[in-house]
Amino acid sequence: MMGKIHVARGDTAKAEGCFKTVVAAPDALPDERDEAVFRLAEIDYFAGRFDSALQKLGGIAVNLKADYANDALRLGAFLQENAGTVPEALKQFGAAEFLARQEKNTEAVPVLLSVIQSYPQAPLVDDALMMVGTLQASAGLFREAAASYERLLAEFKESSIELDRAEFNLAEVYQYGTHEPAKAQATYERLLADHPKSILAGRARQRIRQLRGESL
Amino acid sequence: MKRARCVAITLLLLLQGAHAHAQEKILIPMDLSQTDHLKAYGIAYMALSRGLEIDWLLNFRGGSFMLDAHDFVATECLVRGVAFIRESAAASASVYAEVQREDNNMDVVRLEKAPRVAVYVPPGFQPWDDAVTLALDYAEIKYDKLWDDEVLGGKLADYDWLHLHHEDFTGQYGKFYASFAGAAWYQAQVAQLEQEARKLGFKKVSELKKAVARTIARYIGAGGFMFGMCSATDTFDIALAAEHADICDAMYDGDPPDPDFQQKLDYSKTLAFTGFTVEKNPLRYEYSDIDEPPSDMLGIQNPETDYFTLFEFSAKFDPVPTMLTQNHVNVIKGFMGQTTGFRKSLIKASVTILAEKQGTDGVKYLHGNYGRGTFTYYGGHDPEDYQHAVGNPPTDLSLHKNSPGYRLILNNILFPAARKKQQKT
Repeated sequence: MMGKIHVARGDTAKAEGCFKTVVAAPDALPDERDEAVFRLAEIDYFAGRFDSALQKLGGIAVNLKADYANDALRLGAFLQENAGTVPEALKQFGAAEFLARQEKNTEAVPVLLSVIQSYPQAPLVDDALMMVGTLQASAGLFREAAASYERLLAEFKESSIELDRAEFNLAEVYQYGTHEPAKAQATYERLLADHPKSILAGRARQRIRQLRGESL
Repeated sequence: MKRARCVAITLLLLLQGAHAHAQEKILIPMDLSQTDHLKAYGIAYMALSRGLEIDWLLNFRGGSFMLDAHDFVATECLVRGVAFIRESAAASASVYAEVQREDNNMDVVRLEKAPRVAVYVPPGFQPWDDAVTLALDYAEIKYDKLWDDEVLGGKLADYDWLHLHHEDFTGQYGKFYASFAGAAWYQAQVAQLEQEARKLGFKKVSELKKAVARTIARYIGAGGFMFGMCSATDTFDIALAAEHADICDAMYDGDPPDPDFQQKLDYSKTLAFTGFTVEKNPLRYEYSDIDEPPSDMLGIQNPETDYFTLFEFSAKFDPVPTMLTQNHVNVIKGFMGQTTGFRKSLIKASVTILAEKQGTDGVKYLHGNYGRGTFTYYGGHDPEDYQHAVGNPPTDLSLHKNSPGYRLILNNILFPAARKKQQKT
């Protein structure tokens, strides 16, 4: 817990100290130890030490029953996909994510936009657009957020695995941000049509019902 | 001139395009690929309510539905989580050709209008006490609730379809006396029913219930559709047969029963059963020997081996029983009720048996004609709650979206929507 607070304050050295203490503690539960290792891997990633991060993540991911296995696999796959091809872009992305972790959203967005502009072919561009949209929505910049999600949906409709999430987030921006219920409903419906097996389909159905004024 | 010809060709192409679009269909498969069988019936009902016609493709992919492709139907399928396929004109023509081939046991039944549905339930009933209202609510099919005063007041004429569920038409308050005579809910129910009877001019609840049963029978005879489950099946027939006999003991109606009531039963008045013997013991949780297995033998039933089997009918020659048995499986897990099933030897010869528990004398599901109308009886209380008991929590049908047992209930809802066609036999 303290480690996460130090990360949020931008003090990775103190955070590392906390997490290492947990890892070394003989009475730490396996899940607690896994989380501490995962957080240490994140700190490596924020600092651009990708090999070290991957090594730590690999240790968690071997036990697929571990609570943090999914998170480790996801971050590991992201690092592997980008570290070999666009390490500089990944480094900037990691820096932006670290800023976002510190709630410095308005500083993170320009970094991500710069990555998108400088490395338009990088595999992480859709992730960057996704994060830009999310940070903009968090900052109340709903029009900008909608534009970011729309761009992601338009430019990566064949390649991104984030499309269902982007459609859902876009619909939420319309529903709760710009207060355009018709557009929100249409976007939820598009999500159901485009990704009927999405994990978000059930929630999209509930939102449509809600927008239609139904009590189900 | 050249421009005019271009415009004409363009118009022609547009018209052809529009025609092709009009021929595009939505197929709602009802086989194992369907994600939510129960809500699929609700989609069909919604489309009928919006004035669309639907083709029920009997025995094609589990009894699928085909209708013109309208965006609102597709959207509603998405919203309700019902799997569907947009079929081109050519693909849908191919489906129709397959269904109508003489050597296939399939056929097309056109559904034309949404049936007006009524459910016979007491005021203040709990929805989870009734599998049909659970199914209707889950499938989002609208219905009205009727009770004795509305039935006797002639309201049935406003409806195509009436459902009865686990009501006791014999006037013995469900024969819960032995177990629940001291329970507040039982006493309240008795008081409410007695008050209702007095209000409607009957000295006894049993007389009121018999009058209600006769009114419902007349409704069926005049062309109505009736679906009964659980104890509303055998008690309904018992009430009709006992028109001139008092079968109720003193704790139910304040006076002893006719000593020779069994001889006074008139089986010509009943819908489905004949030759049955009414239970004389007022404390036994059983109405007659129709129920199979009897309620006091349910304890020895093994849910692991309790299944019933749907019969297969000729879709082209017997469309009605075929409609009623459409399903994605033909062996369905059993479930108990105060009336769990029906003793085969007591079923009238004119009645069609739709499903039975193989290797026993138990029939689970039957259908028959009465006058110009029809009735269907389905034994058991809740297809997804093996042994439903008083006070049990409601069944959450979102956990049973593909329930074959519940599908049988919903087949009955759509059946009255079918266009009547000349019988081939």
